[in-house]
Parts: sequence; C-alpha cells; structure tokens
Amino acid sequence: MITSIQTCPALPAERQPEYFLPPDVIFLTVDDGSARLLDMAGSFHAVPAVGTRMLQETLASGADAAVTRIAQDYGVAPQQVRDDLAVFLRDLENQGLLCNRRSRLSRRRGTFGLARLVLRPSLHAAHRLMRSPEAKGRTLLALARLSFALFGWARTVAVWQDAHAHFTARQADERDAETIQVLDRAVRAAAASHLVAVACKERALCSWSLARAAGIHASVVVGIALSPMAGHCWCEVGTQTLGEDDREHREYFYYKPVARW
Amino acid sequence: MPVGFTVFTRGGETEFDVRDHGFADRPRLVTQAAIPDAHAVLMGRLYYREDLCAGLNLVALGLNNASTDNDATLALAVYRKRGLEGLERLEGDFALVIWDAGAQRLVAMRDPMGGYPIFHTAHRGAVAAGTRMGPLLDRLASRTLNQEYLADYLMSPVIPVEESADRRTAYQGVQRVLPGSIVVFQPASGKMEQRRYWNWLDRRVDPGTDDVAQLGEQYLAQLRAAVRTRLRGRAASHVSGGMDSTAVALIARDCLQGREPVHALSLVYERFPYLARERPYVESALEEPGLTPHRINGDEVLDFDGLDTVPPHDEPFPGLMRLWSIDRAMIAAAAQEGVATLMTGYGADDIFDMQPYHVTELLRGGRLWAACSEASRWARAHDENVWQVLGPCGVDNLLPAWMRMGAGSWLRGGYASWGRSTEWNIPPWIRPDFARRMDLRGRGLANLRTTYYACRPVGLSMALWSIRLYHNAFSRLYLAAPHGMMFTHPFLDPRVFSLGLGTLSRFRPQPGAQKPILAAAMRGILPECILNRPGKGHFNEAFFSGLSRNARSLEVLVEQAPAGVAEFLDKAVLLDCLQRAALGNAPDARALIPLNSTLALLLWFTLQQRERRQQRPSSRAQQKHTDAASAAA
Repeated sequence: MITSIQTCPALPAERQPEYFLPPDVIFLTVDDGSARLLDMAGSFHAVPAVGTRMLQETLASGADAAVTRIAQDYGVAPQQVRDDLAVFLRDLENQGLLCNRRSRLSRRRGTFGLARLVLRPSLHAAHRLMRSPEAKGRTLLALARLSFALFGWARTVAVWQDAHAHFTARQADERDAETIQVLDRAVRAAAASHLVAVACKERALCSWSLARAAGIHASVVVGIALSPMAGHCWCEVGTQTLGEDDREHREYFYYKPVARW
Repeated sequence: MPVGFTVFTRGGETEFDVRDHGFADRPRLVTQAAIPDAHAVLMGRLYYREDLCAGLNLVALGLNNASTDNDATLALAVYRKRGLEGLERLEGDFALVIWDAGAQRLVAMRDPMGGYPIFHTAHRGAVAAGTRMGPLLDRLASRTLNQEYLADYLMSPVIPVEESADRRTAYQGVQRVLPGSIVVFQPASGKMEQRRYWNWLDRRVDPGTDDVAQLGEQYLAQLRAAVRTRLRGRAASHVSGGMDSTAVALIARDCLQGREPVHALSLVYERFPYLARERPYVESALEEPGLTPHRINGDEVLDFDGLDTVPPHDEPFPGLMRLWSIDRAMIAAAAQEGVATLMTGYGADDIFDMQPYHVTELLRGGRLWAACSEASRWARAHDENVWQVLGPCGVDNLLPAWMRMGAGSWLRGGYASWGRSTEWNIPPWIRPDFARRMDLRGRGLANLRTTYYACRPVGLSMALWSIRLYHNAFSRLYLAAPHGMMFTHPFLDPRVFSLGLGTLSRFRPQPGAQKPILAAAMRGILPECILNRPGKGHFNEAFFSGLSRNARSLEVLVEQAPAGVAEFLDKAVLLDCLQRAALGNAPDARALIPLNSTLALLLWFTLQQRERRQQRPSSRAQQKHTDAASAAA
C-alpha cells in the first residue's frame, strides 16, 4: 500500500532545497519501507528500504544531515554512509530521477518558452480549423505525442493548460452527457486508427483538451499499480472517464491515482 | 518406491518393479497384465475403451478381465491382436511398457500429450525403462549432468525440455520416450527404434464449417465424450469462475446424471482486490445443482509458497514456482474427499482464446489496406491503438527471427537489459562464456522460430507450440499419483485438441466476444453471467505478493545453491534481479518466467544434492555392487 506521494516542490528556484525531484518524477513510499520512482517519461524504478530512507532524508534535509542521521540510526561510520549516499545520489541524477539546484536551473529556463512558442498556436489551430471531433482528436493525439517527445511530461501539461486557459470551464452535469459521449467516441475512434503509436498519456491529454474546448472541466489523472509496477494516465470528467474503457485499462491493474492535473 | 514402474531386461530375463497407490476405494493407477509370452505394465488410464474393445475377442486372447479397470490388459490385448500399429490407437493419459518374450523386444509408449514420462537406459545388452529416473540412475556408474539439456532448459524457460532430437534428459546416459512415440528395444542385438506415431499437423480435424453455432455443437459433443470417458471413481473439477473449468465441471455433472455429485474446487480470494472480483463468478458456478463446493482460501495459496515441501523430482520443472502451491492445495482438498479423477480447464485458452493473427496472412498476401482495417477494427473493440494489434499480430510475424529477438539484443549476443528481456533472450545472470559455448542465442532463435514460424497460419503455429507446455507430468506424478488420483485435462484430449487445430486453420475470429465457439457450445449449460463475462484477468497479485513474501527464502536458495552452478550462473546478478522482481520491478509475471525457471532449477539441484547425501550406506553398497557387476559383464 502506498503511504506517501511526493512530487517536485513548487518553489522559486532560489528557494529550492539542495536536492529535489525533477518535475517529471513522482516519488512514492510503500508500507514495506521500500519506494518507487515513477518517471513520467515512461520508466519505473524500485528503491529498497535503505535507499528509501536515504532519499527521504536527503530530500527533506539535504545530504549532510542525511549522512548524520543514517549513520546514527544504523550505527555505521559516517564516511561509509557518505560514500554510499554519494554513489546512490549520483546514480539517481544520471538517470534523471533527482536534481540538485544547479542542474535544474541550467536546464529549465529555455525550454518552457520554446514549448509555449511551438504548442500554443498549434493547439489553437487544431481547435479552430478542425471541424469534426474525430479529426480534432487525431490532430490533438499527434500533437500530444510530439510535445511529450520534445518537452517531456511536466512542460507539456503546463503549456497545454496554459493554452486552454481562455476556455471557460464548468463542472459537467446531465446536460453534457451527449457531448461527453460524442467526445468519448471521437477519441476512441481516433486513437484506434491513428498511425502514430499513441499511448494513454496522449489519449488522456487529447480527451482533456476536447473537454476543455467544449467548456467542461476535466482532469488528467496519473495512477500507478505496485504489483507489478505500472503506470497509467487517463482523463476524468466528473466521475466519468473520457476516451477509454474504464474496466479495461484501470481496474485491470487496480491503478491508484497518485497525481492530478 | 513411489507410484510407478520400472522394467529391467537382460539376457531374455525381465523384471517388473511395480507400485500402485494402495487405496482400495480408488481405481488402480498402475496396472499389469500377463499372458504366457507377453507382459504389460501401464501407468495412467486409457480412454474411449469401448472403441478399443470393438473387434477384440479378449477371451480368445487369453485375457478375460478387460471389462474391469485393468488398462494394461486392454493394451496387451490390442498389441496381441493388432501389433505395434494397433497400439497407435490407444488414447489416454498413460505410459506403457510391454515385454514381448516371443519377439524378444521391449516396447515403450507414451500418449500424444505425454501424460506420464518414460525414461530408459540401454547398456551392454541390458535395458531399463520406467516412469522414474532414480532406479535407472542407480544402475549407472555415475551421474553426469547433461550440459545440452541444461542449455535447452535455460533457453526454454516456459516449457519442459521434452522435444530434443536426441531425447535427452537431465542426466547423460538416460533418455526419454517422447510424447506420441513408440520405442522398440531389442536387447539381444542392442537395437533401438523410435517412431513418432502422432503428428499434430496431420491429425488436425477440419470441422467443415465456419459457423460458430455449428462449431459449438461439434465441440460440445467432443468435449462431453472427453469428460465422460475420464470419469472413473469419485470426480472433482477445478472451478475458477471462468468458462473453461466451469464447463468441465458442469459437463461432468451432466454425465453423472445425479448418481453422485462432482466436487468443485475453487480458489477464492479476499485480500487481493482484483482476484476478489472473481468471487461472484465462482459463486454463480458453485450454486449450480449437482456440485459439491470446496472453497480454498486463495490468499494463503500464493505463488512461491511452500517450496520447502517440494519432493525430490527427476527433472527441473519450469512451472514449479507458479503451480506448486495451487496444484498442491487443490489436490490435497480433493484427496480429503477420496477423489479419483480431478479435472481442469487447461488447454482451452490455447484453442478458444483467438487473437487476430490472420492480420499476418493479410500482410503476407500484400493486402495492406485490409490488414490495417482489420487491425484498426480490433483496436477499436479493445480500446487500443492500431499498432498494438498490427505489431504483435501482424508485422512482427513477418520479421526474421533475429529481428524479432531484438536487433540490439542479437548484437549483444542474445542478452537484453532487465525489463526488456523476453523468453527468447538470455537471462542476465547466465555467464557469457557458458552462453557462447552452448550457443544460447542460437537456441533462443530456434525456439522463436518453432513458436511463430513452424507453420501457417501463425495462430496454428502458436497452438502447436503450446502443446509442449503440457508435456509435463509434475503434478500428476508427484502430487496426484500418491493419492491414487488422476489429474487430467479434457480440453487436451487429442480428439478435442485436433478439432481445435482444424478450427484454427480456417476460422477467422471476430473482435469483442470472448471465446465465441466455447460460449456457443456451452449456452444453456454455463450460467449466463459466466458466458457473458468480459475476459478473465491475470494473477499478478498472487504472483508478486508470493514473490515478495518468499523473497528471503528464495535468496537463501540462491545463496546456498550447490557450488557447481557457478559454472553457468552468476549468483550476484541473479540475487539482484530477484530483489528487483520482489519489489515489483517487472512488466508483468510473464516477464519473470526466466527467473522462475532458474529458481526451479536451483531448487532441483538442491534437492538432488540433498537426496544423494541422504542415500543410505546400504544403497551405496548396492550401487557399488551393481557397478562392479556391470563392469564385470
């Protein structure tokens, strides 16, 4: 069972701690003491109990404090803990699962602006120029695929949210049932025959975009399953799932929602 | 001696060492028959006995007890009347050995599904054949592991190694009779002739129609006959809540016509949310009249459980980690009720759960648009993207085997990184020098070709491959036989399976419906909720929870494995992979099949070592005496 969920802290750059999670990574601890790192780029990593403790302490208080506490708790020489921790943190950084202050500042600035520059007009054009929901669906699926490939999860979602901010959004009610059904059918049909290999992320974002353009409030949800580790992403409108079969994709693996946009 | 038989012959003298289960209230599992110049022993059961008896005058043949459950008598009568060709008509789950004193030959035979094993050795005019390897090994001067077998085992992680051309077993000097084969030994001349009498492709039965209702009728008739012929003594069936096993249970009930109930054995789960969803289907089946329900707490029967109770066995069994605890629990529950016949729904998936492999044939025929449309239709029905159908059911099957293994993996000598490894790759814990020496990459490619490219259409090729999955008698031999129980699978009856292969050759499945032919066959027999249920799910919860719960004992198994395994296996890498798997770091349970079979191999090594250490001094002395006698001869 998942006991805690941690994501990238929404702090200004100068107030970031020494080590923090990248925006595309979700850190989950499990009741057996172990943890999972979900990289939204599509990979999973399991961390055994000792590593979990190291990472938790480092994220909370920095590497030096983590060394002191772990050395005390486990009765091990601080230098040994320091060496092990350094190897462990370097490994996580190399895999893109952990940032320190400097690495993040150097990477983040330019690409968000570029993502906005590329994606905003494309999204506006897709919604304006395409007539049928299915044609819109196809275009949005392709755009989603492209933007995830170019800009990663966090920037893509942020730019898409930004690009849809001008659409009014209200909670769905019974008047929207027909619209939701039409959109649902359109996304499924577009995804089924799309020549680009689209996965759940693209499908969820496309569904979300269509719902928002129709003036309906929607959320993109990320869920994970532990046995085995697997992640899934879907779009929710109220209590309904849009653009995919509930049973087939969510209940089959018992995905537990861990993040929502 | 465990339940089974061993036959020794030398210089015209033959010795039959036979042991049955000893339960008076259950039909015999090992039977013998003798006439003046011939002696037969059979382990298992013959089916469709009425068909066999037709035209046989048993009294004239000097056999007047074939009306009883003595299958050896019937087999001997068939042999006496019709010779070796006649034996090919025997149907059942059995291993048969006949000593023909007149012709001075020993005949050994197994059924097409390989119900029970027959191992044999031939040395200096002496031949030994039996259902267990131990007595044969005791007569060998030494036990040497067969490296070729080991290499095949490591690269065929799903299936028991039964199909090698040289009929190899785990030990040098011991060979096996292949399923669907007859071996004739002539000890005097030292000649041995093996004939494969059963070829599944040739035995396909064309149903003559594509109509689902008519196919359903044909299946029902065959399946009913397969269940009826298996009913001997008290009967039980696994009832999982799916179509397959429930169909077997309810057909058995109908066949018994209320004379006695069918014991229905169901694993029920509460702790695991996904598996707990099976409960309503299980209960709807168990509520059917004529079934006596037995609910087994599935939460306590997880994969990898109870490995400390696994008995010594002749060869490593790749499915041990998954099936041991489940089969043990079911067979124990059945044994408490004095069950003599326990049936399952195994084998139905291989025929009825059809995937759109006809997309491959469309592509092969150059009909690209039709292939894409068909893939898209299936993708829409299953809420997938067209490539999720077009890839595995189409394009992948047209690639050369090395590309399908993965070009990167092929270039790395057959290895793949953790998480991307398939059953065609070399597991990362296998030492590279062993992999090179034994050409493991070549073996992986050969397995891949056998699976997907053995014949056309691809679905038929895969079904033929799946038959090999069932060439194991582990649960039947080591769990059920000591209780006097036959563990049997009506969907794997050759008559039923041959019809299935014929259907696969011509029937084009439609998306959406689950097992439409079986559903058509079972309409009016199965509860509606089971007929109309969406597809049955996975057992990931039982697998990963079991792995996590038993991780420490599995680590100990690896750490304490005999030193000899270091020749081919890197324990540190294996431990690392085991720890990752225990944390759920794998795509699914299927991706961990190579890990399961390696652990099963290590357990087998450990048990073999322990058994040899525990050999009593007297048996060692006897061994020396035998060796000395052999040397003198």
